[in-house]
Amino acid sequence: MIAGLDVDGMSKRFDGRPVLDAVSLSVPRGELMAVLGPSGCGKSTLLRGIAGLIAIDSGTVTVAGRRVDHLPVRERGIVYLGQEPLLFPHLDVGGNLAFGLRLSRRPAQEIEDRVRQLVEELGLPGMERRNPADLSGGERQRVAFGRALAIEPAVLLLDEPFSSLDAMTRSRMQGLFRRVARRHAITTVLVTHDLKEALVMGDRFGLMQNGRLLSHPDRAAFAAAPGSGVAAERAFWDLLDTGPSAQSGPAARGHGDRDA
Amino acid sequence: MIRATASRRAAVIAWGLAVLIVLPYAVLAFGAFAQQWRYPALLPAGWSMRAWTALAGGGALLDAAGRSAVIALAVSLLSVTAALITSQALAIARHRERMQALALLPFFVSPVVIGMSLQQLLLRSGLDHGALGVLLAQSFIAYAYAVLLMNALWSPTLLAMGDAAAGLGASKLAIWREVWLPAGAGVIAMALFQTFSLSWFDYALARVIGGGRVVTLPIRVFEALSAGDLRVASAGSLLLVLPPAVAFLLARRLVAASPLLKVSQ
Amino acid sequence: MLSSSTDRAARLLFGVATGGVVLLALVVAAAGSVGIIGGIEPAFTTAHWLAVLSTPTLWLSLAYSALIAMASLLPSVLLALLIVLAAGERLRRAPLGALLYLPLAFPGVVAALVAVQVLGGAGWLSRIAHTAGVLAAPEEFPALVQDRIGVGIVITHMLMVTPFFVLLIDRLSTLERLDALAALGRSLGATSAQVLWTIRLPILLRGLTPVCTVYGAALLASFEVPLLIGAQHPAMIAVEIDRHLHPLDLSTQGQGYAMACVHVMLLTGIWWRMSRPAARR
Repeated sequence: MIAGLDVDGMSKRFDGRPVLDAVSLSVPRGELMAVLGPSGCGKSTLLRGIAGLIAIDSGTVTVAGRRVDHLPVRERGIVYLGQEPLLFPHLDVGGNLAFGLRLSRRPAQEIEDRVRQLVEELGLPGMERRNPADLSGGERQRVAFGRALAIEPAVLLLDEPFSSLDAMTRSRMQGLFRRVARRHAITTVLVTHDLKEALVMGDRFGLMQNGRLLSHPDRAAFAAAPGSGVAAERAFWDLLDTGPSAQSGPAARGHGDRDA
Repeated sequence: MIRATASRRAAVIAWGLAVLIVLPYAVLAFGAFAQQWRYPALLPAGWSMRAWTALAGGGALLDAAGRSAVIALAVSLLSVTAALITSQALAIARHRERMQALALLPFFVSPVVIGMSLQQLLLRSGLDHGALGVLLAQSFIAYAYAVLLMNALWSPTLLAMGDAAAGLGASKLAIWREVWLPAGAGVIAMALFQTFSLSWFDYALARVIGGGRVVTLPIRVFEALSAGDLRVASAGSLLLVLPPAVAFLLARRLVAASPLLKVSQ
Repeated sequence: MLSSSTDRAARLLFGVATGGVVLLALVVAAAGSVGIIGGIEPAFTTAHWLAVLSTPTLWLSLAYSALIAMASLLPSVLLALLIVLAAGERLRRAPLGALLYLPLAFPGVVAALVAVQVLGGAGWLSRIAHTAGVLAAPEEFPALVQDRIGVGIVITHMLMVTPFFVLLIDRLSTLERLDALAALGRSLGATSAQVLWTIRLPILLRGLTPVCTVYGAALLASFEVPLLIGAQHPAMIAVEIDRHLHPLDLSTQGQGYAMACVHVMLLTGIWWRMSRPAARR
């Protein structure tokens, strides 16, 4: 296994309440770990702790075999993408994509080539000079993704990045992110409360509850885990095939409640 | 029918207000340019450019205006720079609301009293009674004001943009240069303008600290008004209120075009 | 974003430049009021406090200032509210949309000058009244400038304050989405009056109260306007303090410091009361 991202014993308390409780995880290089959990279970805190956006109480973060938890955000090689694609409003699409490259003072030609390549890869042709305010939600998310890809980060952290998109765009974006991240061999952690999104995107899986993380190395192990919700989901689809006469499963119960 | 009456009422109120707002400028213009305006004539018998030529000739008014402008420029640059840095530090503080409330405190105390105590401090530190003292005293008030304005700038979005830039490799300095300053340009320009105005219009601090030695434009206008010289007072007042008014009307477009406002809409 | 040591230094600077300045004012005023600083020969004394507390000057001035502040603020807010309710989105259209900001750039000195020229004995109003045949001589025109009740001060304050509140109330209405909430109220069966009293006014009042407190404090400490167009007695508090601090002979300076001390404590108290619930929220 090629070293990607390793988190060991990460803990964090807010006002005395444990939000992360000795969380450990390991993602090999180029793979995507999908972490599923309800709102408030500590998913975002985990990502923000890994990225260095909040101070953690204890634990270590290792990227490609190098300890980074003592480093400032900008030196970790980790990019965090949140639910809102935060584009810089004073820069156009091209300016946003080139942001990280300009900071590291790459030659102008290289920046230009790289931006053109990203625009191509992410399906944003002809949009270089567009203002972020004039983009759709999906386009904005693609630019934010491209801005991260431009600096070739070792680790990408995705904090429910598709939750504000409509269903069609969301599924297109999931495919695109997955494809591109794999092509660039970027180690990725995705947190979501959407089971289907986790199943579509993940190589390995985690279940987060009350600040604790249970890791599963593959889809089969994850599906078998009682808390994953896969069993309930399967029951739902079974119900759709067999009809309401089955009289069991969550959907049937929900239906009965509504009639009462 | 009801709708038509309501819209007519709205129009009457709007135009009435517009007239009330423009009227003081007309009053000042009459005061500055009227000649031989005996009671009870409604209009002056003639017009005089004396006030204007006094201005153009580099008289005491223009001298005071120049001094005021230099002080106000320094005050706005100093206070906005300091406010930018501190308001960001406040925005990420644990007890941010409690700390931000402190920025209001100086406005609860009369400038006369603030000026008196700062004057004592300046006296004892050997910086008494000069333009520098006035500049420092005004900067304290302008700074608190700028912090109040800037609190609105540090939205969670702008702070998160700083985080995003850091993730892309930006140092703290680069975040300021590449993200916060350009994205907040509209608010910063507004703060520069308002702190400039605060100093440009200040009478109380300049009087208490300057002690008559630092003759700013409001001091000059006040003196003329106290001496009953309505013409010079009016001309000075026009000089005091017109430049900021014009600048403001121009700046309004700039602020409306600020990229940060567009995104948050 | 994590706090660094620079951030902590910046917060310290902020505390010193705001709370520190007011604390300094209190300390200097207290020192002056007991004779440690100021005067001809600094020496501890309680005479200034005794003089201030035993004569009505300070209390009269404070009460007068509070009265003027209230009389200026309340009608201004009410007027602004009526204007916004009656004029609605018309306020945002040209030319008023831009003009409404102009009074914000009108300092007290200039406002006082305009007041003298409009409200004074030989001013515009007096001339108009004379032309209309109401007056025979300027002396018959009622004293609106340097009058004892402070009518001139109140009118001048109102002209400066009302446009600000028009802008604020209009902005609040948009921010709080008052029109949408009012429409919702009507769909739930509320009459126009009920919409006004149970939806619009309570929501606006919640946003206006802290601003009114700050503005009230600023009006209470108003200086240039009462100095120029106010009466000698009673004088507003800032004028009274200034008069005692910068006398021709230094004997009353200590009393000025004592008055300043009371002023700072009183207004810091008001600030404290205002900002506490905000901190809890």
